[in-house]
Amino acid sequence: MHKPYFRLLFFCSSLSLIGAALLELIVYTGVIQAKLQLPVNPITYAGTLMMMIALFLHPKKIIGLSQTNVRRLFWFAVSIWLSTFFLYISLRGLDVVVHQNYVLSTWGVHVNSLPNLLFALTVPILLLVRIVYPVANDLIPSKPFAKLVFAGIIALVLQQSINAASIAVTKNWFSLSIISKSKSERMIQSLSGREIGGWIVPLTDMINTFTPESSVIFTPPQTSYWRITGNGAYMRYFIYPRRTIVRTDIQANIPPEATHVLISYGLWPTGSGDRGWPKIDIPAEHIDSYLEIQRPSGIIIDRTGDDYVYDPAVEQWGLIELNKL
Amino acid sequence: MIIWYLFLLLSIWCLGFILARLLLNKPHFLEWIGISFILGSFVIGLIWYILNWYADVPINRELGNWTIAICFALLAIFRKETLYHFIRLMQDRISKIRFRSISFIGISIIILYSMTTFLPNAIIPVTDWDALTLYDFRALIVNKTGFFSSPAIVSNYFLGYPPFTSIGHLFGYIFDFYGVKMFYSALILSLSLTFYGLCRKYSSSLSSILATALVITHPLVVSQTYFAYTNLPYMIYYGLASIYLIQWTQSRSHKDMLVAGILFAGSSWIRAAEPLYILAILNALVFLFLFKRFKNWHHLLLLLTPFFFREWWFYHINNTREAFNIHSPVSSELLSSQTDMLDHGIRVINFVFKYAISDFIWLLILAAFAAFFALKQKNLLAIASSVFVSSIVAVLFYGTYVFSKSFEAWENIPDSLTRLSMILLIPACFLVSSLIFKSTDKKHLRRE
Repeated sequence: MHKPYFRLLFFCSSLSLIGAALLELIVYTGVIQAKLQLPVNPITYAGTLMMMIALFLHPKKIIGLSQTNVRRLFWFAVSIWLSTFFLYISLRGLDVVVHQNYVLSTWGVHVNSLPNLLFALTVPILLLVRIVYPVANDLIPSKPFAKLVFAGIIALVLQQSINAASIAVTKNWFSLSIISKSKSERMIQSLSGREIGGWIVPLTDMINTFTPESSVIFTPPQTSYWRITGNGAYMRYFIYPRRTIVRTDIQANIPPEATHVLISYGLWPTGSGDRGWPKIDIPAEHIDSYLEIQRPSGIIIDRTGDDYVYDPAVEQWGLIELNKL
Repeated sequence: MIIWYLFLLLSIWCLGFILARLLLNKPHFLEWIGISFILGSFVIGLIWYILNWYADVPINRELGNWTIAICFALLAIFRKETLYHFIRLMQDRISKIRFRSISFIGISIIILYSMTTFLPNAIIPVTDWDALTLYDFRALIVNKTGFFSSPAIVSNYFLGYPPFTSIGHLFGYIFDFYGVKMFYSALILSLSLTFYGLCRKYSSSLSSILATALVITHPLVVSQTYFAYTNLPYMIYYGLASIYLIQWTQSRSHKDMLVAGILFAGSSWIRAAEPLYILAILNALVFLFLFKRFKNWHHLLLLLTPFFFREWWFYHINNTREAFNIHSPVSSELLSSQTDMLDHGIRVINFVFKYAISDFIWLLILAAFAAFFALKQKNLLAIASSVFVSSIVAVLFYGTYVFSKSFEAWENIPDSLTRLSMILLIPACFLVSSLIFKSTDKKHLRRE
């Protein structure tokens, strides 16, 4: 192909790469991949390919601009890259601190697409940096094979680092948002809040407050919705030195050595259906005390004197102390 | 309280600093700084455990204070041999540093990134599943009772895992500080310094920076940095040990082999189940013949350190089982009722590709390029690294095959294979760093 056309083609494709990344920013992440039914994200792979090509081009001849204008263009590209990076960090922070999908619901921008934009913006920078700083050419290996490998490494490092920075930023923002809270509240937050995994903390706090250390607590089997409250090793961390006792049959009767029964509505987040446990009724004459704890507020209601009636339609959490007599 | 925790970490570093002076062979100053913490945390952890188990010294704040006092005192006593020597070494280097150079900016960014992992790890308490059921629970019980021999934590479940990370958590718990995941951040920081220093001895600064960035920003490593699991420390000890072993093929110094042996022993102190140090011994034998290092054959005896260490550990837990009257777990027999070999083999290959190799596919392609160049340029160090990397890949397939024969539900736990495959990362990135980019010290590479 004639060289000027090739250069034109390169510039058009690098612009369309940026355009594609911008499109994903507004529509949704992975829209091009989904519409074209590709197995991988085209922006990343096209970007890597173009970085490889960029290292083979002779940068002095590529742009018909004067040295000053090239310099201006370079710093313009760098400042766009840096502002996009900081925008990405701040938007991620907003999503973490305010609430998930805050940015999407407020401004309609898909934050997850910004790394692709950063990736696409690197291609022109990689090309321009060699004109502005000719010394950069010394860093690039001279042999064609080595050039390919070098571009591959740069692309890989770039992609990984952007993701790593994003995770680090998310973690840092999250930790700053809980820095003033108590240890157990921090634990609740990092276990995804009281509605999900973090509920284990108030629930076991109640057990620790209202039971003696020698008690044996009957818990649901470690299946379907009860994979958290039914896991003896996991529960032990929170309620040690109290013990748990488990039966594999979900309908099983209360074992004689149990002193307490945990009422568990199933903490495993996925699936829908009948989550209530225990699936048997316990009459009031077998109950010494009957405490109900409301999710997510953690308010404890004393229902001693009532029968425990299994009702699949009602979400119920609590603790029953059994009457041994 | 965090002040005392940081003092303890610093004192661990001080002890490692002295050890590194004894053990390292012509270190880069960043390598020296980094490896100090890695060596120190292994040695201090081991000393604490032995004192606790055999001499009934409780692990508590008092022991922490004594550790701080003794380690700082040791550094003060040996300051001439260590600190002054280090400062002289650094003066040479620092006078050469150009603050606007790409190496200075790059390593600063890498250090800065490693530092950012400290904040979340200091604030967010341990909430990871395996840590709560095992490592952190053991640390809490030891903190409460003072002893590893508390009945609550002496069972087959706990004895199956050496206490490295539990002791790492105890460093904080004894001072009532709960941000104990900072220990993992300290390991990441040490890893980045050590790895950069090691690469820098043989490659240009740019390729060292890129290789270090490849290691510490790999998605698996990043996710493990914020997790209180054993996989990250295991990867660090095993990976760095393998680099010292590879380095030995060129330096032929018994010191390199000794550091490799100690670090391999350290990896057995983190996870004892997989006897992966055998891979190191096999590789060392290959290097012996490949590079004709017959004069130095006796150095290989130093690689028996992990073997003796692991034997001691198993002897210790067997004794514990007897003392506490615990039945040893039933060893799983090979399942005979498998489908035919070929079909099963293909399933294993698919499984390993999907859950282990696919995370490293681009890196391995780059490593293959690097191996190609290494053969072409007769870069012996890179050839040694490629031998090691390929042996790890082979062992991932073989190990999964053996495991699949002894454990029926092997296909249900892909995560642990993915996390184990992280041991590929450090040697593979070291291989990539040895690529082409204007090696500064070619004499060292092509001694023959």
